[in-house]
Amino acid sequence: MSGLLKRREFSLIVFILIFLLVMLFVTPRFLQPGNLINILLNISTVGILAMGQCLVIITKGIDLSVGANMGLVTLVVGTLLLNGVPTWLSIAIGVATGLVCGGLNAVLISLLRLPPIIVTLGTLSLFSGLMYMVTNGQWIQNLPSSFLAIGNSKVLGIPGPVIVLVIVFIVLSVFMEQTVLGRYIYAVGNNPNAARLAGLSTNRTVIVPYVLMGLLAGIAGVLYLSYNGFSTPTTGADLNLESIAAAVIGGTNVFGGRGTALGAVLGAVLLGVITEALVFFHLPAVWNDAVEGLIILIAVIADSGLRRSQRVAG
Amino acid sequence: MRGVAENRIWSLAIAGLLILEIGFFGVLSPDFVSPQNLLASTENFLPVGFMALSMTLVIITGGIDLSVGSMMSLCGVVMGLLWQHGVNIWLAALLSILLGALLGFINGQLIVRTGIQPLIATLATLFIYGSLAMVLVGQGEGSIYGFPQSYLSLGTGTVLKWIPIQLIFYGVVACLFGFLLKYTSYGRQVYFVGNNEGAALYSGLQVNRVKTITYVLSGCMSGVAAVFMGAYFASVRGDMGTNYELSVITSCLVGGVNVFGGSGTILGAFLGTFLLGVLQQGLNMLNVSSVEQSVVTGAMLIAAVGLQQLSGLFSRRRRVSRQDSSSAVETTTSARD
Amino acid sequence: MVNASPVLQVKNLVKSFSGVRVVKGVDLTLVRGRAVALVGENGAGKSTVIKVIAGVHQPDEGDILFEGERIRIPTPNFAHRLGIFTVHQEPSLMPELSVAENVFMGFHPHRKMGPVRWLNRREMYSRAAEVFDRLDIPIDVRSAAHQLPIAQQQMVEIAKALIHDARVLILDEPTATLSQREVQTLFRVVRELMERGAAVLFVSHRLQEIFELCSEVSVMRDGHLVGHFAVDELTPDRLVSLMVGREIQLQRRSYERHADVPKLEVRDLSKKGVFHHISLKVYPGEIVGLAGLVGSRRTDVAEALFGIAAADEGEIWIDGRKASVRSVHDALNHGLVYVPEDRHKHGVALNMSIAWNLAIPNRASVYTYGIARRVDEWRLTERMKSQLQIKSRSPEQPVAELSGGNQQKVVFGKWVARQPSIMILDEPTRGVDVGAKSEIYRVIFNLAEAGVAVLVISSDLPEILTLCDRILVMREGELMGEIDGKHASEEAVMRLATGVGAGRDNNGDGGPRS
Repeated sequence: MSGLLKRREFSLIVFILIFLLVMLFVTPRFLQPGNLINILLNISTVGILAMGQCLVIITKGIDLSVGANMGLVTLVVGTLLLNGVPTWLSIAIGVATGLVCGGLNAVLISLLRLPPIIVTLGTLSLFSGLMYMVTNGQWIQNLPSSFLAIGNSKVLGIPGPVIVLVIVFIVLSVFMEQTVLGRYIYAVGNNPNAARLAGLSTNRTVIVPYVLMGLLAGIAGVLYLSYNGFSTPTTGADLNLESIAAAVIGGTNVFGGRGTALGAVLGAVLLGVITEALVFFHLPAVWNDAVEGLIILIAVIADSGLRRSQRVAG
Repeated sequence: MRGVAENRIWSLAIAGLLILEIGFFGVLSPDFVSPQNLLASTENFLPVGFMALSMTLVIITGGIDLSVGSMMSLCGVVMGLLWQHGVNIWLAALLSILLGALLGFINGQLIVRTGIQPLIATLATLFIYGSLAMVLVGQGEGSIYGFPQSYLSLGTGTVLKWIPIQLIFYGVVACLFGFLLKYTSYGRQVYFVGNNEGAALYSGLQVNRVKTITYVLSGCMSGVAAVFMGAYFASVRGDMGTNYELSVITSCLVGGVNVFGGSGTILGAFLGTFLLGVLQQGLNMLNVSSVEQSVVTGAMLIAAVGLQQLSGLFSRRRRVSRQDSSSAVETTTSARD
Repeated sequence: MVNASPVLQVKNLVKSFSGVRVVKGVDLTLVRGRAVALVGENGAGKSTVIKVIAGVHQPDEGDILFEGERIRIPTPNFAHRLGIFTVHQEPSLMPELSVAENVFMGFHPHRKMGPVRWLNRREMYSRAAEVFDRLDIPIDVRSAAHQLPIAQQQMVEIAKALIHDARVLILDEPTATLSQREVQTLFRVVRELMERGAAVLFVSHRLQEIFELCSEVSVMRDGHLVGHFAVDELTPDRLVSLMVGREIQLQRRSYERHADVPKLEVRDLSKKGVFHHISLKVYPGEIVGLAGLVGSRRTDVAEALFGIAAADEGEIWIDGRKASVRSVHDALNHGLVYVPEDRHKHGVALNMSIAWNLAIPNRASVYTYGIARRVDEWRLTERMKSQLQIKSRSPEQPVAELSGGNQQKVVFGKWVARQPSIMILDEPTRGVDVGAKSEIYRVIFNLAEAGVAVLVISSDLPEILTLCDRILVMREGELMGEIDGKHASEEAVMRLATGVGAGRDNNGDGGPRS
């Protein structure tokens, strides 16, 4: 397995380093501490979500509702904080919200056997709607400093959220690589029939990625609110695409069965670095979506080109 | 035909629900159900209706098109820009519809030539086209307006005092689509491909061509929707189509188009469109915000597909499983079959 | 030898599908440490028997005894837990996961800490490596399954059974993709299992292998058990006779070739790793048979001719002119049609009506100006209905509701309607009841009389002998020989198909077979 790991993740690291070097050459300002911290903070959010998306895509599913899930969490936490609820409790409830949303997806997809794309398309609008209802369309800001301290904290110069990203990454990697349940998730995505024959309950296994996704959305939401300091009813809208793009760039194969947490994080890093670079080249933010969409296409086509078996054209 | 009887029952049920719905809102507010109001209110959701017609074909063949909203934005913006630069508005409208066809063609080719699932491909183009729309109009002020009155009458004008022009166009196009699906060789091929792509291939059907055409039509209808919406709102914006794919897909599924492909009717798409549309208009009247409305739409989407799944469990249908991942939806369910 | 007690017994097994009795009262006994071969031609019922044992199907009648106790085997998973493992013709692994993980799927070595099961990778790798080491198979257990060639993937499948200390190992034509050397390795593994007390059921038509591995043979024919013999009592010849040997009651036709130029000529068609140097001719009005057993690759040849998956080398000549067939469209343009082997997958759209299944492939002639009218569809349906005797309620009836025979007639109908000049039929009466069978034969004869060049691929020996004027026999992608219809016998065909006595058998150079 380690031989396989070397392939995609390694080339991603190389890519990132080359890109950074080029950028350094072009505009030294790029790697200024202030800028770097911004990039890292962004990456931490996308990275956490991308890892969850990776898990979901491995089981041949997809989650179009993550962004709204995360956004909802930020608004819930923010509202609670503004109403005097203690920080730790607000965070706990926020994360629980993410879990519940993920759980809803999980139930609809695994127990009722509804197609993930349709379900998450539906829950996307559900969660988006809830976002408006929670705050009546208002923004959340002026949060207590005890909460903001989390996002702005630094350990040895590394921003707090990045530490959280690393922790989540470690936990998830261990889960996916070292636990039997994690292996079952890969199995179900690789060959559902064989998995069933080997005694796995594909239904129950499929619940896990979506619930985890919800949990991660909760964590990411708390972090996001904490370092940004505010949230709006449309927060997180762009994160749907970014999480998928990061996962796909990171080597998660949309046909299922393949992908790693490390890849997802590296994908997030590369994506973050590229979008930041676009800003430096004065590309208006509106181009971001197009670039990300294009990257997804390229990554998926490249991946499917590698796996093309007998494809009979009509 | 797969579930012919089911389709009829479903259509009847939706038609019944529609009547109940109108009755319900009528009780709450008699003005709402006056003929003038009802007819006029259709102008709000007919753009969705146009796109639902073509989406029906896409879904029947086992695919899906998430990019319809973005295509609508891009077509609308291009139309506006062309007009701003001196092109005759009608020509601009025509060109934007052709652009839609081109965008749809790109979707189709992406899907049939590279083997990417329709889900992923159209998700990517959703963002690419949507972004392009914003980019193009960003050079202006975010929206383009000031169109000639003759064009605007497309959106708000009426015939015979009450019947919106848009509705007439929709009626004609819906009939054309209905005819296409029900009475032409191409329509038959669409059903065949959706029912058993392998058998279609082995029977000499040009599967790739059949599928590509569905996406081209989808793009066309996005352009048409943009033309009418631009007329109705008297402006086009870079984000005019955002989130429309939800309503379009929901309309189709509510209308009984089977999410796994192989069955569905234009009548169903029509009924689904109106059920959803009238619901949205009614909620509007009750001062429910548009965001809350989208919650309802999302819930209806899940309910519709859940019901389809349940009714599939009760009826004795033999599903021929598809080979590979050309269907967005089939693939993602195969992990749990 | 190991204690010779029966591990698994099947008594009086009866199984039907769609009203057709496929297994008619079969007894089978599997004894610890011994390998029993189950032979018979395709359609004899062998695969149904093993599927019952593997928990895939439930018997209609009869008993299964496991170590003396009557049991039911409701699911394949249950069979696994009993220790019954099946190795199929093709491996079905998890491509992205490592070999070791594939071997231990569902039984990962782990340590439990609270609710979490921690994978014990080291143990997994070492135990897996140990297995392959002991068997002298050079596989890196850390490599991903998809990186292995098919033969090695097959080894992994068998390693699964070994790791789980299988009590009953069913081998269902496992050597089709293996070279001689790999077969020997396989047998080594199997013998090891037998020494540990496993009972082996070996389904194969490679008679040489049967004689090498097994101590007993059960012969099935037409769903019956013909007999149970010790290997010592038999010779390959005698075995072949036992597998066949029916009275042929059906009328053959008399055929005289009139044409000079073959309608279809195939010259040296090859597809790397699939089939090699296939050459044949079919004259107008002639019915040529292509016989062979599992893995003979006849369908691949047919699909190459029909434009589904083109061959790498060789030529196709139609009507005396070289033809390029790179798509189904090309094939149809040349008047070549194909009735596929898998009716449900490639033949008909089950949930669509008869009328649509017939009309849409013929849209050019049925629909004028692209307009589809029911009246045109019904006219075609009526025509085909009467010509082929399709029994149905109405043209709008979904094909799924028809019997197998009538479904097959629909497949025929869609092609007959366009008056093809070449018809390739792949297992034309599979899943068809006896009555419809003879009707289909009549249809085939009529088509030939009308001048169509017919190529029939079939594993049903009586069928081949009844229908065909000439019989070509393929084995593992190569042509073994040709038999004239008048002098053909089931034995002769079977001999060529199994490679017995013809001088060409398994004793090759050990090079890869696929």
